[in-house]
Amino acid sequence: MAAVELAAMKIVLLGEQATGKSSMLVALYGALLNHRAGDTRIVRTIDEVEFLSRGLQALGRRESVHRTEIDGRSRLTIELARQERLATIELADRSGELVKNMLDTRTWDPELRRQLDEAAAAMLFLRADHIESIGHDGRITNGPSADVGPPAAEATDEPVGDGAAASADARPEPPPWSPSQMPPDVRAVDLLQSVLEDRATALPLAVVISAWDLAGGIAAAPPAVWLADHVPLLQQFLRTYAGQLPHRIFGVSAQGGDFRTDTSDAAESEDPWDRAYLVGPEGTQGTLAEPIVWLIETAV
Amino acid sequence: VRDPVDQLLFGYRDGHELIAGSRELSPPQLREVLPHIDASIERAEEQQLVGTWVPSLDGYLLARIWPAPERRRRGAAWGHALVLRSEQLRSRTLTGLPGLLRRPENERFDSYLAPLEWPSPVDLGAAERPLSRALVWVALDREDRPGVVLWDDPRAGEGTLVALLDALPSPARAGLSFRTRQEARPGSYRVVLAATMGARPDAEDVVVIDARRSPLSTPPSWTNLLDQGARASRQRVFIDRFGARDAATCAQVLALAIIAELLDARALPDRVIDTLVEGFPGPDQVRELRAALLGAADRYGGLWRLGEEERLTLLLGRPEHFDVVTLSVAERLAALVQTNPHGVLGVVERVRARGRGNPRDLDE
Repeated sequence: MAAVELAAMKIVLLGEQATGKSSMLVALYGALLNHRAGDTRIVRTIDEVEFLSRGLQALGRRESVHRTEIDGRSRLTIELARQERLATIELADRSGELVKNMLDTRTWDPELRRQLDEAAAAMLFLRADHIESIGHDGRITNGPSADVGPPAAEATDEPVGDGAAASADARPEPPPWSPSQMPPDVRAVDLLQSVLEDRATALPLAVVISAWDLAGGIAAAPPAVWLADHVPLLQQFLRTYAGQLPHRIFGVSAQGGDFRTDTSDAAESEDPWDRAYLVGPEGTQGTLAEPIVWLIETAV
Repeated sequence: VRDPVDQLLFGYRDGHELIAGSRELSPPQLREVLPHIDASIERAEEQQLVGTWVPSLDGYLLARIWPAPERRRRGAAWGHALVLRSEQLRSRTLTGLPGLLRRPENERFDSYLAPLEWPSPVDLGAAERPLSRALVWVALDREDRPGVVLWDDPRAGEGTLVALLDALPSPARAGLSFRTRQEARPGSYRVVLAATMGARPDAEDVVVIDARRSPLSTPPSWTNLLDQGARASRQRVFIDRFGARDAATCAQVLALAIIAELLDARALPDRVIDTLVEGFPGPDQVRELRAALLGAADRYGGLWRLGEEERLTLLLGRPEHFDVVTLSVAERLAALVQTNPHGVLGVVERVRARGRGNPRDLDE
């Protein structure tokens, strides 16, 4: 029987900087190339994949994938085959700073807006260790500064512009509020609200909690439960707007562990596509292609 | 600080952002500046030099980007930018500016908070000839296309790019944007100098010159514009003198370079004037050059030795391109009638023979 070819589909990746978008793309590409994507096969790549190859090499050396620069135009365009069906998907890898600046300045980035207009589906990235947790003892753990944020020496607010001349012994004024101080879940909801304001049709959404190994990995609570526990505002928003934003929640560890701390022989000997893993909404382990497969099936 | 130049330091903190600076940026300015001052650099030794006009700043950004391996995020970078005000870009010598660009050390940013003093001019040295010729060739492309020059060490061309910017007449400087980088991503800048072609060009029509190989065709001689010799020096002086007011595009700078070369080579006057009206069709453009070429022979003899009859023939052959009042054509024809009546008839006949000019004007 001849394969049914589906229309080309664009999937927009939404997420601020260091939320795992590029790593996910690289790991997905590695999984597809090396037959670690279940019954989803890569038929051909349609675009420049140099950045993905370099990313895979970095993961192979147990190094993180390089960040995407603001003017970057990388994308993964591939033809996939699954159960007698062919689908061409395009995933543009734009810098997370675009989303960050958009939220900080309350102004759409024109390129991002164009991508959303053309997108049939989206992936929203949150990084597990960027989400603050309030423990039973009332102490806040995790948050951006726990990992990729600046070390203490960098974290001081350097004065810029008129405030630069303030003398060192002056009593520090609390910084004025700005959108950049909003926690990640509020910013995610803010982003999705902006998307909904601009969109008349439903947008299937795969929510990817990246660095899932830092959330507890395979033994952790299922991603849907984790989201309700740790990011309740986003979870409630998604539930409220389930009609416009049909969604599924996945936990993804594109690196398969923390390269700074996980130095076990087993981890070092594995290939990147064997280290990476995904946990589905209910906590079962799956392939990295599952979010894409679900988006294709939901959007069609 | 005399004639201060603003500076901005960008680096990776909560994303790639403005760390310190002598001025503030509005959100639209920040959005426009960030792509020019960010890079995800893989090679530890790579640096990038960027020059571009930023409309929202009403200024020209000259910046250098370095990798920041000391930051935890892989691909993090430092970017130090100078913001030249419009009048600074137009009127100042730019060669000392790259010396102001410096990478932060030891997390100390105090020195980035105040404007810097305009630097003294320096000799930027000369790049290897194939490289400098290729850069000039791409920068002055007749069709204003973006271009890529390939060279193993992109840093070797940095001085040439700044020298080229400095050699352009004031109005054209804002139109020359450039970036050096390891892998070219053409389209965003007028000139990209890179070691390899990276992604496919965004724009379809991109000029690519691999300066490491012998060119497929002989480069035009005006690509020697930045040579150290007397001829190139004369060309630069010519371009600066006659383009200072009206040469606003690289194509117009090219027209001036070609005119200078044609004059040097004593080419046919028709070719000189055709090049002039192609680059500057309006009668009000490059008035000084128009006068120097086709003004009265007894007043304007500096550029070429061309008689009054020939000058009037060239001028009346293209009346829509010249201001006949400013160039005193009627008075000059009247004077010619007095001194050489046959000469006037010769002018009319030659203009008619070339099929140019307005017949009624010629009859009058």
